[in-house]
Amino acid sequence: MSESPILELQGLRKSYGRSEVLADVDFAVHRGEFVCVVGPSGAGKTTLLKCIAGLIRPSGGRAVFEGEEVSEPPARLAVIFQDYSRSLLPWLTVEKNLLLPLKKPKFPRATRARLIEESLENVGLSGKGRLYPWEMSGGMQQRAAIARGLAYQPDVLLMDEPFAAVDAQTRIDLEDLVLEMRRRLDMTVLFVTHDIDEAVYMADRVIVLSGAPARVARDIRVDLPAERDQVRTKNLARYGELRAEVFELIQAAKQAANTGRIPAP
Amino acid sequence: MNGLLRSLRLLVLRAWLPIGIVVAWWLVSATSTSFYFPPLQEIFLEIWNQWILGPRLVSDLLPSLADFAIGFFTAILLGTVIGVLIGRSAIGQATVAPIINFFRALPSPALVPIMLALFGIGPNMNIAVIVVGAIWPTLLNTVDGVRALDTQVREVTRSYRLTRWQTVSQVVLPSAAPQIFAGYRISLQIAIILIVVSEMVGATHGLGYQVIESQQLFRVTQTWAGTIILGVLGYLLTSAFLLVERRVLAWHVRMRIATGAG
Amino acid sequence: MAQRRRSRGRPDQRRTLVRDLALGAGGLILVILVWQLATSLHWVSPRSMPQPLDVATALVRLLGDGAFWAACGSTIFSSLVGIGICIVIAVPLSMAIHANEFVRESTWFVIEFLKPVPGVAIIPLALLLWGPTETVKLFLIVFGALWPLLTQFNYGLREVPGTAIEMSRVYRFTGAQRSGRIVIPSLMPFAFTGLRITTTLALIIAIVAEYIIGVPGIGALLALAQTNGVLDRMYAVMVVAGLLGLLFAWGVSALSRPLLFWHASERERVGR
Repeated sequence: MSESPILELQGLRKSYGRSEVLADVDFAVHRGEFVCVVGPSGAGKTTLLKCIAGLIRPSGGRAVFEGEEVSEPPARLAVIFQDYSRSLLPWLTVEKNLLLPLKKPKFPRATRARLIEESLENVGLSGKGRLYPWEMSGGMQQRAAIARGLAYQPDVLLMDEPFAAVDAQTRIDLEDLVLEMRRRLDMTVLFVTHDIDEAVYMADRVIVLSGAPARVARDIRVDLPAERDQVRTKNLARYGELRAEVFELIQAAKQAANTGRIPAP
Repeated sequence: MNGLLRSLRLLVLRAWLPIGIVVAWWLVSATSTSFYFPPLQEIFLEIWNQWILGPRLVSDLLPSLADFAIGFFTAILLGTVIGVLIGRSAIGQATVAPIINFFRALPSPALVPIMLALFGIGPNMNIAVIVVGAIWPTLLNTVDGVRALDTQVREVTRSYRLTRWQTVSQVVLPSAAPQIFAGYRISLQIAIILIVVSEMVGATHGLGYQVIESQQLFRVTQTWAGTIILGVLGYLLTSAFLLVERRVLAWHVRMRIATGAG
Repeated sequence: MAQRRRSRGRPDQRRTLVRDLALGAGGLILVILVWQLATSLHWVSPRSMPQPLDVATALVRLLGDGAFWAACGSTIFSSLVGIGICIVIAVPLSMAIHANEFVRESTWFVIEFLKPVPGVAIIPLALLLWGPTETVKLFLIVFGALWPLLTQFNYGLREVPGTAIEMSRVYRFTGAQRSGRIVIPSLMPFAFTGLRITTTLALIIAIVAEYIIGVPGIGALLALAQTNGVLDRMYAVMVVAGLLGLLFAWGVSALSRPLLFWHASERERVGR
């Protein structure tokens, strides 16, 4: 594939005062890929995402989105945050929540209602638009947040540990929902998570970060069949191998963080 | 049917004592010969004939209400707008903090002599003192409410590239609304105190003026009448405000019930 | 005013604090400068507004005046006594009201009605009925400040967490234990909110009563300065009134800290 990457991180660095959170992060995401970023807790995954999303200014290096350096939130990028209860506005119904980012010239009035309806359908919340977020379960709220991101028609969806705050059963449903959505809409997704099982299950590529200061420890191609299934895929030997590889990298990263050494890529 | 019965029972429970007090007062004072405690009937007649159906409605009551309304709404409007502007700027907030805190703590009637010196006697002074006195709780609460905007909500508005106007009107204000309305409630209380005091001290007509004049001229029934009207108005204005607050913040009330928040 | 919580470490916090203090001082200086300009450039007539320096001098002169301190003392004393009486009445009264549904609902309207009545509205009537005395002033303070306090206590009693009461039943607390360990601590936040409101109201009513009736106090000083047209002293007394207000507010906060350290609102304020 000689097409230029839709998203590229070039030597991205971020420090707060004297503590360096991100040190020289380098990788690229191509159109249509599903890339998961994993790393030990506190490794700066969220910071990385926020730099890409234009919410934080990097201390060095840059994020390049669709050929342009990211200095403010790009228009064709949508972020799904972890805490849905704080990212969905409680004084608006789900419908109105989805409508808010669409009130721009980019989205002509006539198409707004249709976009909202389609997005709700895509996440399985048809007909629930009139509810308030707090009238729904956690899983449904996160679906609503995803629907909001979809309605925005982004080229890339950034997801910051979106399923960390829901129960295990719901998480399984949501994982499959995202995969289905991505397949149907041919989306490019950058998915941050601390859950190794989730990362290997969902991704085309897994990027493992080292501990703070974070770098790319390894960029692993997930050569599992494209059709993912919670039972069959997770039973494959290859799944176990990939999972073990990621797990060991993270363990090494945690240790290095404790002793100050950085593991070899 | 059960719900209706229960509401009726509650109504009776709540109504018997107040009604009983009024009736008792009426009966006991009817035979009173005391100069200072005239029959309640006379007081009611005074209210009815002078203030409700009479000349004082137009000459005193309505002007007082008008001055109050102008002062109060100006105060909360200014307070909200300035509060949002200050709240969005950390530097602005730190700069005005001591001033706002001082004036918030200042007993507002202390401003009356100052305003008298500046504006002289008359409705301009009454309105000015309400604006200068009642703006602070709204200002303070608006600043606090705006600054308390959840970081994640802020990130959401930025990531979806909402315009500044959208952010303020659709996100910041609704988010801060509960706190802003708490400020409005206190501003209302201050405004009521100030219209009463400023009219007692620096006016030529109006409800407060009539009450203090009645007292100075030893017109007992009139003083009672004016005081009762003041009390009733205070109650009605506050109740009206609470009704509006409940409407505007309906989502907040229901959300707290739904999520069981304290 | 609330400060945003900083989570970035001590030196950062200190720097922000210094910056905020400097900005605050700068704001004050700016206001005084504008004030000075307004009077010097005659944007406002000098007969309506004195110059800042004159007010400062008048303030200093006040501090050396025995009569001033007596007036201060009178205002503070009556306010404190009034607040004390309010507490003494409100505590048992709220418990009595809460104990019995009949009493609670019967008194509901009376309290709801008296709560928003501006205490100052009663001044002419009280003056008429009982004349210009200290007792009348005290009565006015109590009448004006009692109902909000009572309302807060009532809220508090209603909100004593049901689960805590059930727990106390399960572990078979005695009535005294229940009051002391659960009811009273749960009441504290409401009590302090009520106290804040009551303190503010008490001070306001004291000053207005002094101003209108003429009983000794800060309000009387204001009235005197106004009658004599001594503008700079009038402003100086206003500054003192503001300082009194700050003093009372600070007093309530200081009291609440050891008693409310556990409560969410207090923890937030301290940044924990």
